[in-house]
Amino acid sequence: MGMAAESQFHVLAVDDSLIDRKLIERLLRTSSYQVTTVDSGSKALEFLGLCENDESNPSTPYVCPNNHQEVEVNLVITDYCMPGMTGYDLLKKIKESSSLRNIPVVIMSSENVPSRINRCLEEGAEEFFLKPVRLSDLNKLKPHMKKTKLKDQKQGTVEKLEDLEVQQQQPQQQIIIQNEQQQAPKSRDLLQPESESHPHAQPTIEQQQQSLQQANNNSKRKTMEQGLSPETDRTRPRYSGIATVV
Amino acid sequence: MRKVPMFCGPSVPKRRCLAQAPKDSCSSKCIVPCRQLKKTMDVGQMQRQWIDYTKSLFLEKGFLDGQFLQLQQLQDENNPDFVVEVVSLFFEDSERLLKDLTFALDQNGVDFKKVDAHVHQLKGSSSSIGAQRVKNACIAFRNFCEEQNTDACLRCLQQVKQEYCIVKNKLETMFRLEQQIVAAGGSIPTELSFIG
Repeated sequence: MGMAAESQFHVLAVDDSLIDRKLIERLLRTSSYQVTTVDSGSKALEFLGLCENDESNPSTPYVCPNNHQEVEVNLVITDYCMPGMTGYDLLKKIKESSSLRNIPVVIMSSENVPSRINRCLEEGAEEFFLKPVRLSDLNKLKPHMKKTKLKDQKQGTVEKLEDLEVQQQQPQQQIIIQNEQQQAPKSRDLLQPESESHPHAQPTIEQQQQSLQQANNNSKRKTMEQGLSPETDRTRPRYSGIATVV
Repeated sequence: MRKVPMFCGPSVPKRRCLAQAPKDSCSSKCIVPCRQLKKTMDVGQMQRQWIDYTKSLFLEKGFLDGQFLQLQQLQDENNPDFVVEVVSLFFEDSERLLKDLTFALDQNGVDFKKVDAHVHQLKGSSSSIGAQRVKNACIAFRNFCEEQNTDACLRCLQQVKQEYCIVKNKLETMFRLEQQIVAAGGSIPTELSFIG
């Protein structure tokens, strides 16, 4: 993927500290991302088009019909420790929302608290960065954004399916996403909080498993896991994500 | 030489400001007409002076750490003032927080949660710009917040204030050297390989 395509990735950065917003904005722009910064979790949700219908029942957010998300957001990167809504709260709200849950979320924190890191990863965060965030950390973002693009294809009309066989399956209401060959994931245990860098492949597997659970089809799952082997013959078409459109 | 206003009292380096702005960059605020000033130092000398000074901030006493280098890396021709901008925000932020902390610790019943929240913020911003010694003083400070030890907290506040003033003066001196280099038509050296 060339620079032009990468520059289209749009990141929403959330931090209550102005210094840190400046910093993350520069870091992301230097890495050729489009950036929007906001200073709180609630403003982030507002930007994403999510609002809460009932203050007393914050667990049932919904997408405001009149405030539909105009700008596509490919990734949300948020500070953990913020007054009011924390980064963890924001993560949960995004993952609870059917319209937003596919947006990858990355948490940043100045404190290295393993239980906190675990909690965020279990709740669906893709990465946990210790602050101050460095340029080298940002290299870990790209694979997550590519993945979102793939998932968007899955959600919307299928435009880029190269495999004819796949298109033939559409009448049976099945969409098969072809994995990018260069991203062949290695099998690794999920949730390894101790490992300093989370392998790019890890969340991919995780999400594939989610998709599979939705598909509720164990035989497909088996096929999938075989397909995930990193040593698989690369010339053979490989399907790494299967979801049934309801 | 014009004196730069200082929050932390007189700290202008004893050595006389050697380089001056060239004619064309002389603003109306310039007290001494630039034409009368002799350029006593060439750009190369100024750049070496800047490198030596920057080096001393990292190596000798650890005023700055690698995060400051990250800031410098993020500065480019499209954002030529990035470091000065972020560091100025750090100054504003720190001065507000130090004032709040002084006030909070002066109360009869000290609200240690509040004190800790202020110190947490100061620690965050000092770590974001690489002001290592301020950050370290904040870490010690937070331990005493947890113990609810007012006397120790007051001592820590003095320590943090002192470290802040030192690093502020050092950074201002560094920025002045940079201004002189740029005014003399030079560019800020980017080679900072001395920092491991």
